[in-house]
Amino acid sequence: MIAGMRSRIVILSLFVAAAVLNMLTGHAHAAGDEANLGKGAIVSSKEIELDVVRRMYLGQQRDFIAVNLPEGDKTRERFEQKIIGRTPAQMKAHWSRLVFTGRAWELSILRSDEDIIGFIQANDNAIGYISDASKANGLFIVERF
Amino acid sequence: MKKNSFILFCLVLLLTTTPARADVEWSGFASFGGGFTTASDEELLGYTNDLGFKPDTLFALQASSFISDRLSVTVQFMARGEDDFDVGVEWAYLRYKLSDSWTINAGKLRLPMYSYSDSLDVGYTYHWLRPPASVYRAPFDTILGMNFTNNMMLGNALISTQIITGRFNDEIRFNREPVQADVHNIIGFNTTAEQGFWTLRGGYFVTNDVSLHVTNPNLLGLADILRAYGVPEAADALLAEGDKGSFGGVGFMYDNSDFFFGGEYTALRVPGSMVARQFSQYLTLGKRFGNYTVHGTFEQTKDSPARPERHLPTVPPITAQLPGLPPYSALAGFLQGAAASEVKRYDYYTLGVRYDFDRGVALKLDITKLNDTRGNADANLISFAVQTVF
Repeated sequence: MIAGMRSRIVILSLFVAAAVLNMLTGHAHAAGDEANLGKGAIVSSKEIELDVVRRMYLGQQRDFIAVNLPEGDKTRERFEQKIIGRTPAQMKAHWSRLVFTGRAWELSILRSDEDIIGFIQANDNAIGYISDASKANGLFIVERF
Repeated sequence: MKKNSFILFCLVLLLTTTPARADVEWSGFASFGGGFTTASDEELLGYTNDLGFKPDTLFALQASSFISDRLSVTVQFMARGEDDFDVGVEWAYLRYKLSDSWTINAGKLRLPMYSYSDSLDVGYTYHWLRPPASVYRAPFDTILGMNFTNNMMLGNALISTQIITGRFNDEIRFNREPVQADVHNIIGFNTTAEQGFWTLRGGYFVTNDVSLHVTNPNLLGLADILRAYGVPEAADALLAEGDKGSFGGVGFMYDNSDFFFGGEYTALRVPGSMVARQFSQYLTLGKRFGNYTVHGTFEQTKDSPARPERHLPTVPPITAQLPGLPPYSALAGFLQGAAASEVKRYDYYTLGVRYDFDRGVALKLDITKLNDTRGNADANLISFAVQTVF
């Protein structure tokens, strides 16, 4: 009885140990699919690492002001799938968890590429994504997707 | 009454603290669930053989408002089916940002005992219809108090730590009855590490003063008999009165968006009382197919009985038989019986499907089988729910 409990604790500890190892060795996970580059682009007012972009859009970091296109927008869905690696439903579930615990506030939503470009031009620490990279107009392009 | 005046207080606070610059941001979530057990004599998670809707039905609204750049107020109102939809304040707190990495919260807060503590009621945020009942069973999950929250990066991992302290003082269910509980000086921490597809967490909480004001005449009568026989220490070991308590939990989750697996293990102890040592765990596994998520979970509740009878001297300190009372020799058996009544040994198996059929709305179907390895609470439950955030 006690032995059974111990063996289960051992199994759980093994899982945890595997997870810790995985963290320590670090592992790169799928970014944009190189072969299938679209016209979309992540744009910002200054250079920023892709990992930081991911954390911003997962509500884990707030060094920049990140803005979103509306829910249901095709560019937003592509951005979430290709850059963050989650489906819109998964993103919604993830953000619900943050919002209903007060850990993060929803990112601001802007309506169009033009609104996003204008917003980033007016803020020196803003980040967003647009459907057409050719409109970036002097903004820093972090990644195309 | 107390509840209502608190709601009123929160509303007034919200209204009076939201002049000119501050907007109130409303959000909400809801779950409408139903279920039934497969046999007429079975009961499980609040359901019976007659289709019922109360256990997994709830509606909640949350209001948040920034008073300044650093200070915000959040209040969550909730109406649960199992409370006959009496609206209560699930949590209400002031949040003050001390720095980029430190935040302080004060008010009615969720105690972060589990991986899903913070979104316990928001079914939309997890794959099951409800979190595993074997593990998610602490008799209370919010406290009045404050916490310090820190966020930091360690390499590529995001580490969030909460240090929390406070008091719980309300009715809980104990020994199958509502009991007034008072848990003083709760202090503890919860740390979560997230990196890539992995999330790990661990938390530990202690209290130096748990009191359960039991009214059960059998228990109180037994305590009186023990005192009459000159063994008050055995009565103390039966009742929770000013006892120490601890709760620890660890958990992990791997989710690469295609499939996921995770688990949790928790242990609760109130050593100076008849409260069983409660050990619980689960492992869960799931795979996503487009808008469908298929998942399976094995859960276990494995309690060990408390041992109040150990406090009985073998030689009766006064006499072996007081007139009109059971003999001293019968007391050990009574104590063991009382402790045993608190012990649960349950294995649960759950298979379920989640279907994300529209933005912010999920349909769920869970089939749960309970094996009572010690008693006869075996049951099968079929339950379904539509859960949403808005």
